[in-house]
Amino acid sequence: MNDDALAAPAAAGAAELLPAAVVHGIAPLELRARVVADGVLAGGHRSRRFGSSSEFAEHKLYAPGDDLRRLDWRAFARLDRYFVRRHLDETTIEVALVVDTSASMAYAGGARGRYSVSKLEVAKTYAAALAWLAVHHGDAVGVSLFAGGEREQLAPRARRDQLAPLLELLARTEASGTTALEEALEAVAERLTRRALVVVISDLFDCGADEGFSALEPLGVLRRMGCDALVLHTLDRDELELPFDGVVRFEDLEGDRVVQVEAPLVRDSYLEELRAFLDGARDAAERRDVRWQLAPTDAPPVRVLAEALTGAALLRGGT
Amino acid sequence: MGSLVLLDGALLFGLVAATVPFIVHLISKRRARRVRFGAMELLLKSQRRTARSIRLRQLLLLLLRTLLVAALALALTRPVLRAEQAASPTGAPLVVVFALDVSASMLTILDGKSLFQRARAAALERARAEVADVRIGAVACDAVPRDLAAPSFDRAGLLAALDTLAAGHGYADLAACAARAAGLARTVEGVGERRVVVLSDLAAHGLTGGAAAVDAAGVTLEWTRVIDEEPPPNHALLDVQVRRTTGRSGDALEVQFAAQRWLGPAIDVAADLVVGGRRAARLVLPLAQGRAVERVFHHALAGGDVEPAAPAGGARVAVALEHDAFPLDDQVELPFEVPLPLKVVVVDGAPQALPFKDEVFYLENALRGADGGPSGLSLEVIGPDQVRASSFAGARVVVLANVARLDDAAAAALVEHTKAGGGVLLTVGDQVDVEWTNRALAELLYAPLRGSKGQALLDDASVADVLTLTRFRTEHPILRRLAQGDELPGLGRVRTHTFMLLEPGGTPSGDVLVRFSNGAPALVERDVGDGHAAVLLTSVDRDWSDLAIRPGFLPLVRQTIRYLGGALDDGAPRLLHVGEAKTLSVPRGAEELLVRAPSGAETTLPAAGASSLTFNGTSEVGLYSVRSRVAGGEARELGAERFTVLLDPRESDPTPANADALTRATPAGAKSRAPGARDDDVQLWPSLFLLAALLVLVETGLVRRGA
Repeated sequence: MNDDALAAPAAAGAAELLPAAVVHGIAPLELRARVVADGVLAGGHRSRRFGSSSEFAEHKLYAPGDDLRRLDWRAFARLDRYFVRRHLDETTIEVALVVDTSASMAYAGGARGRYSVSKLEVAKTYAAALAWLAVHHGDAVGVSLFAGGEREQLAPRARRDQLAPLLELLARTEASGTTALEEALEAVAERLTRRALVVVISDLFDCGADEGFSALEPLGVLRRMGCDALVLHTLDRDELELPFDGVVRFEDLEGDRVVQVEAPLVRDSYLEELRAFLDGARDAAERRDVRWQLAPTDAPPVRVLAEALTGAALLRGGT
Repeated sequence: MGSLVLLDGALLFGLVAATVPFIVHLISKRRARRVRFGAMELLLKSQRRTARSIRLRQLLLLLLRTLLVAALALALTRPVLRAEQAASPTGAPLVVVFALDVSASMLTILDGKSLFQRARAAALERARAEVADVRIGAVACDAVPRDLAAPSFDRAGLLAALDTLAAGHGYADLAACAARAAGLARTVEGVGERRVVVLSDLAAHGLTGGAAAVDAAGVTLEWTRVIDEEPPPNHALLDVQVRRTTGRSGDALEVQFAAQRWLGPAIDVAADLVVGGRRAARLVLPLAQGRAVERVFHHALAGGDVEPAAPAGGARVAVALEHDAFPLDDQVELPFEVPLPLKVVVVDGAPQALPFKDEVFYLENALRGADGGPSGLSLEVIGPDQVRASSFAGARVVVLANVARLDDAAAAALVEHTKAGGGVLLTVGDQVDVEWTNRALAELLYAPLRGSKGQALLDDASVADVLTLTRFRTEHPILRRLAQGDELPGLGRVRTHTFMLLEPGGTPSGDVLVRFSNGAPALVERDVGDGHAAVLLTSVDRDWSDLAIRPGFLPLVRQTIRYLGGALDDGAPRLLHVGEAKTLSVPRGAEELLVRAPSGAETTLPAAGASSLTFNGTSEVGLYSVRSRVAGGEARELGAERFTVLLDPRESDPTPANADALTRATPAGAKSRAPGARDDDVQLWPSLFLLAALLVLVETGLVRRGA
């Protein structure tokens, strides 16, 4: 486990980026998505933008077996050689956003009087930014909100007007219920018909950490099916550091578990457990050839997404 | 085998504080902050891992903190480990001197016995317990320490001296007394312990002066508190002021007083105003430690307040608090008198149609203004023709203003009236029949009238045509208050052009109070039987003098009338503390003054020829009365000389002295032993403080480690 991942965002490193608090503070989700997505694109040097008005990608010399319907007769007339047109719809992928909306995602800090945005709001920002990227890349994008199984979903479509209903769905979603990631991923996998990038945004609490994060198992299956998968592990700064003072009565957001402790006395042991938890999550992801990215709520979302999407189809450009 | 003794056992209640850490622990548990949290699984795991060590640590901290508070509380009780005393005759001291506190605070009553009685019983018991070859002496700790018995083997003499000893009402300096006793112990030659046993309430107020500068080497000073328990709380009247006020609804008494409480919780205490033996008003005072409460009684004066038999026509006024264990400071009886209404009959010898030209216009206004005022005068003006022998019935003072003559029967009645205790003021003028006056009223005159004399008629350039007033006899009761009030300069500017001359000489029972600037008497006064007669040797209107329009006229007239009516308040201080000297005015011709203390003891002061005397015997708290006796005559009550002696306010504070104060009060060279302490005691409190400091260190370390 990299210690830097747990550290609070360094001011110098993120100087060129919009701070998390500013980004998450933007009220319209669409604007938030655009700000993040623009940032990601500006930072991703290998990216290429395609005009949304053209579906054409490139010409290819005809080879036996190619679809004759795609022969470019005009090119033949000019060049006297057979070319087939390759179109973007052959290279686009499907982006499936899987967002955890369980009650634990409602946590928004509060230790030592410092409140921030909730993990769910941060998750919405990431989902919206990814959706924006996908739509403007011409990819199909859909979203699945889960809590106690799949709660609501929007089927993937590669249309520019897909963004509005997606953002509207995200905006009206509140955190409630328990986590059931495995069922949600299974439901998503069943619906996928072609190559896809599956992005899971969750705090991964109650995801079978003791059983090697068994809830991530469907992601392994998806990988074997040729899909790309990414886990954005969202945690609040309080959950990363337990900076509480005095005697605190902790009450479970997703159940009726209660524990009263003198916070400073359990902090060391909590941090050890947390480290094991994060290591476990990362290992579980790596075992299944799934990329895992820690996304603290106070980290600049542009940086988190840029790091997470390095090498992903969304930034590679379509071929 | 030793035993554990707590020298300040009363402080043991501080152990209750040892429960504070436990209570704080419970409260902090209850007041835990609530947080709804997501990472419960991680928390539960970490809590399961650390629960045992945390609980152990919390228990340890709780135990440490409880022990810390308990150790401090125990240390404050000054515990000592005392070895069993070996009863060895060889351990007997060479000499023992008892110093018995006989100050007022020793009159505090506990369980039916005063602290002084306990002190004396303790002294007697210890004296009897000492072996026969020990010399024993005794000193009484009064305002000035006095020897009761020099150290000797004479037990009977000592016991008799102790038996007859009584506590007084004074203040005692215990340090001075201890030094005196130490000095007495050092007079004994020989080898052995010289022990001084101070038997007292050991209140802090008796030890404020520090040690006396005497050498007390070789003396062991044993401070003994005669009660084991905490001294009882006390409340006291600190100050009482009385004055008479005049409002629209009539005269009233205004009694201002202050009360305070020492020790014990805050309580409500009733304060009563008692006028003429009856409770006239009650206030409830919220008294708390260390805070004086001031209140004022306003009491409208009615005829019923006046006791007919009260001396000099007054009623007694007292303020009384609810009694506590120390009643001496709970009540103050004041020498204030509520004067009977003073009826004045003014005979107008020269009535005029125009009021301001009337002979008594100015006099009447001066006295009428006082009608509802502090003098309490009631005025009746009649003409000379209306005067009958019965006209003076009920009158306290008769004023003859420029009266030519009265019928003989009326004149005789006037003289009799005066002899019986009444007062007469004659003012002269152009109407006065000198011959008749000298004959009919001879007994009222200081000296016979010679006739009027006008300065303007003198054909002498060297003589001023107007006279001023001078040579005021300020020690006379009439003028004493005017002198205090700075009224005399106004009178000094009075311009008189005509006056009445007196024949030379004058009765020895009289006085010239004021003279004109040419030396002639201006105001004379004399005793007539039980009464007084005064003559103003110029007119009371503006015919002969402008006295009537001068600022000093009004107080002069009122004071004169009050004096003649026996209702003069001379304004002298009449409240003093135990031990303070009181100056008493001596009436003319008095051979001796008799001062009666509240206990009934009477002191006779020879007064022949003196105008004032100093009385030093103010050793009792309460109201003192004064009588005067002329040669061969009956003693007469001097109402205006009554005075009240208050307790020294220091004696009201029962707060016990601490060990430091006792050490400071110990004379140089003497070995001090705190109440209950002994030389062979092993002091445990330093170890307890050390333990407490150690516990603080361990606790701090544990807390830091946890944080």
